[in-house]
Amino acid sequence: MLRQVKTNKLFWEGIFIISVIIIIGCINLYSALYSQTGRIDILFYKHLIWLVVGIFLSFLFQQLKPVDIENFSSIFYIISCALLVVVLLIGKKVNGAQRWLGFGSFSFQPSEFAKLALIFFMAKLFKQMPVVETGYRLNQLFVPLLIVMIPVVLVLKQPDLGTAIIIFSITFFMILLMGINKRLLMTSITGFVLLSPILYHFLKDYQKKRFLAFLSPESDPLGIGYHTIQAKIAVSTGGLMGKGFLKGTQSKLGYIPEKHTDFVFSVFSEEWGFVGVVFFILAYVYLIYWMFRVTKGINDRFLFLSASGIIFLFSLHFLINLAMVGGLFPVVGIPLPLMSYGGSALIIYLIAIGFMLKQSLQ
Amino acid sequence: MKKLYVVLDSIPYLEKRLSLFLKVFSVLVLLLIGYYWLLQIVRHAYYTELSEKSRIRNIKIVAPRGVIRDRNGVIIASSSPSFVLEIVREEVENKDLLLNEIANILKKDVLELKNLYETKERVTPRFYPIILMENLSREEVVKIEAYKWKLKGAKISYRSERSYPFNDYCSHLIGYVSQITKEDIERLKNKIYGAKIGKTGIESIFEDYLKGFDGVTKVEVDAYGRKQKVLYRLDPVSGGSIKLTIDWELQEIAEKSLGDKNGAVVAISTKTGEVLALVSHPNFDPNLFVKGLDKDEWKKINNNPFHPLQNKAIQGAYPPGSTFKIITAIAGLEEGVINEDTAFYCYGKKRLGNRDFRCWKDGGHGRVNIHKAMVESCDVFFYEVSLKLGPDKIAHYARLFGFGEKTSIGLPGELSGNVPDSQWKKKRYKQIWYDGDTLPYGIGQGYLTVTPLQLALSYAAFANGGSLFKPIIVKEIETNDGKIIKEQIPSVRKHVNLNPKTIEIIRKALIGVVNEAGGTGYASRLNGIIVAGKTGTAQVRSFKERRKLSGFHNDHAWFVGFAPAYDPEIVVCAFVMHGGHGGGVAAPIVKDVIEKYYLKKKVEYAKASENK
Repeated sequence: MLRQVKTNKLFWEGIFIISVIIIIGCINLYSALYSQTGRIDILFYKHLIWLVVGIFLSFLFQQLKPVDIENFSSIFYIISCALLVVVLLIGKKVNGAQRWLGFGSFSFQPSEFAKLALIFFMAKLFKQMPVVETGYRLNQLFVPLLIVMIPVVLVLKQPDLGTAIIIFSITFFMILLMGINKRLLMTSITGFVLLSPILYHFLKDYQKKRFLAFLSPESDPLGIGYHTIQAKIAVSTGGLMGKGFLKGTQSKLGYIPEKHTDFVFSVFSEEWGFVGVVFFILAYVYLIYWMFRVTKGINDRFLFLSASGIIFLFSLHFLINLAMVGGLFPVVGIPLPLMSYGGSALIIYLIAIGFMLKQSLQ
Repeated sequence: MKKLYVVLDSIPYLEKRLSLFLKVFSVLVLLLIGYYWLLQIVRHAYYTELSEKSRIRNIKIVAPRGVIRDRNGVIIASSSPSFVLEIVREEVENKDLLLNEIANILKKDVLELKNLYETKERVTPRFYPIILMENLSREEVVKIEAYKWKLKGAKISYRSERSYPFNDYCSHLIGYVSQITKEDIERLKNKIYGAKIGKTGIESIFEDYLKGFDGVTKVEVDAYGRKQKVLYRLDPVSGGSIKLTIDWELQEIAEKSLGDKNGAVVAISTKTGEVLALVSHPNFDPNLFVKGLDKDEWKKINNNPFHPLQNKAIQGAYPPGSTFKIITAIAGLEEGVINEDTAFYCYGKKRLGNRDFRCWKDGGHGRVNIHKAMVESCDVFFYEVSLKLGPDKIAHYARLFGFGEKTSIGLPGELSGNVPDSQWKKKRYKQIWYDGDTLPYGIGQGYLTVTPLQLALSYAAFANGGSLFKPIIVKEIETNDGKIIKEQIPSVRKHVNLNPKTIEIIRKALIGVVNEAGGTGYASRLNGIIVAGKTGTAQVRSFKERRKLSGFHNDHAWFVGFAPAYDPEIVVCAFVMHGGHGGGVAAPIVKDVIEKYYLKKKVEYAKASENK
């Protein structure tokens, strides 16, 4: 009885913190899309629609038993890989990248779906593998690496370096969680460092430019360094207390590109200042901590690994996005979950949250 | 093979590792908070300044330039609104299409318009509209407005522009306003591209008074440079106005009288040194400089052998010819080498060594005293006087009357002319002074050169009894808040003490020049007013110049006159380059100006008595 109350409390805590972040996200997106003419942007309504659709799909997903998810995870994986192939064949080209599948006025981003599908599939895979105290060796990691490389290569083809990194990192995180042979870890890190000049060579020109611009944005302030400098200016001019809701100037005057998607946090920082930023970060940390507490109560390895993957997914997006907006990380297309505009991503994150909420009730 | 430890209960093991990840995450979050603190609090001021720079744009509102008037209030340089065609680059969708349309509507050549656009684009800073055309006519404005819907990005706006209603009259004194150049910006420091500044004459000297204070609009612009809202506006303050000593009616008559001849006319008040008229021909239209000269216009000015931009009244030094005889005569009388009755015989030439120095009159004047020598301008008489004086005495008197030094009129490029003496020749040519140099000296030829202004001032000094004035061109300056600054008050540079007897002899002779039959300046006599003066016909001695300007090797014609002969008020000096005889060409100009002066005076007198 006591336990029941406790888990229920955890559930409501989750509902509370998620609501707080979603509401902050809506308010901020409203401001990001606000124009001085006072007309509300159609994208804001679209966001609300995606929110409703996402919550609905999330409930639908929760109807699946854990066993079903485990069984279906390989199918999810195959579907997501298939969609990634389809998007390369018939996807919509936006800004030179082929990332979307269009359905009328709505479009769907398969790479977002792939992130979650991979988490479940990896969890299933690692449930079947033994835990080795000395850590995995390379020959044991062959299968998981092969499985992750398929979507990574497909996403790189779009090209979308940010998402590819995220997808690979999910697997890497899972491997770390399960344990990796220390020597192998060292060798692979050293190998990566040594090979990075060669990898850099394989980057597309615009990716190279972004990377160089990150290293010194001031070298080309009107060109590629523009994003970085303008975002930094927007964040910095927010100061301690911020300029106030709808009163941001840098983003409103069009200085911030992608102000409603990847750079949505610059709008928030500008308008709510350092106080707002700290509040938001604490709220997000609270969300992560809540997920951690939920995960701790899980006894099944598949579910545990899935939940851990979801924690990692949120934490990584959160860290990279905030670092990118602040100019600490190269400009890669990584959105801020529950804050950035983007239907596919929002639905995927809501499903993930739904999964966590269901676990909090167990 | 190593033994594999299979941990049966894997969850606590995974939990341990997950909390490790969370610890790493927490550290990263703390670093992130620290970084945002650095960005938003510590670096706040720096980035705020950076943002203001990119977000707020200052748009200059050019202050209307102060007007320039003559002494009676006639506006000779005004500021009037001018319509300009601006191209706002950020709003243009298709540049070529737009220029085609504009060319079509205004019936201009498309290629020319495109060239113009490219030239202007190069000098226009980013985010500023390109001023494609200036001084649009009413019809052009109406046409553009009518086709506005076709011309996205083109805009009619107006601004204050300098204009000179009398075109080329008095252009050298007033100067002109034109586009600032790179050199100007480096020199003046506080100016920006696109501004127009006074380049020469009064416009340049009194730039600081005339320009006023430009206003500014602080505009918030978006990333595309489009205006969003006006944050702040400071209205411009128009410049102060300047009242010249020039009397426009005299200036006009002098301009007309000199006509298409090259040369200069200077009219000065003998009692104050105020310049009443200052003409230099060929002149130029300062309006062309405001608008910006095109290649052909510039070529026309630059290739004119008589240098239209040169102010011949002060920037040209010429041999004064016989007008200088007044100095030789004064020196002779004052030094006692001659008196009223001293006479020489003129055979038409004087022989010195094996050289003949000719008198202008081939047959000779016969027996001449000083009066006759002045009236008929006998050269031989002055050869004799010069020989008796020697070069250094002549130079001494020439300097007393202000020759050989700048008049300090305050206009740029003034020449001091040249007053030679034995010392000078030694230095200049490493030669001693010969008597052969002295003879032409006495009749205003040889190494001696003077500016028309110097000559006018020297006659004024003689006419008023010996006061050599500093010439004045600006009567008063009225600042934009209505304060009147007297820029220049009459000041005597030096006083020449002359024997009254000397003055009397010369004055009578100068009256004779104009009023006696046989006087060389007979052409400038007037009814009712006694004019006194002296002609001059200076040989153009440079053979090089003659060859270069074939057909233009006539003598320079001079006439300096003042009136009334007793208690004079005005002195007028006319100089006609290669004009021929002073009495025939220059004297009528002086007559016209003096006549106008007294006509005006009569009208004013009549008005004044009517009002009583």
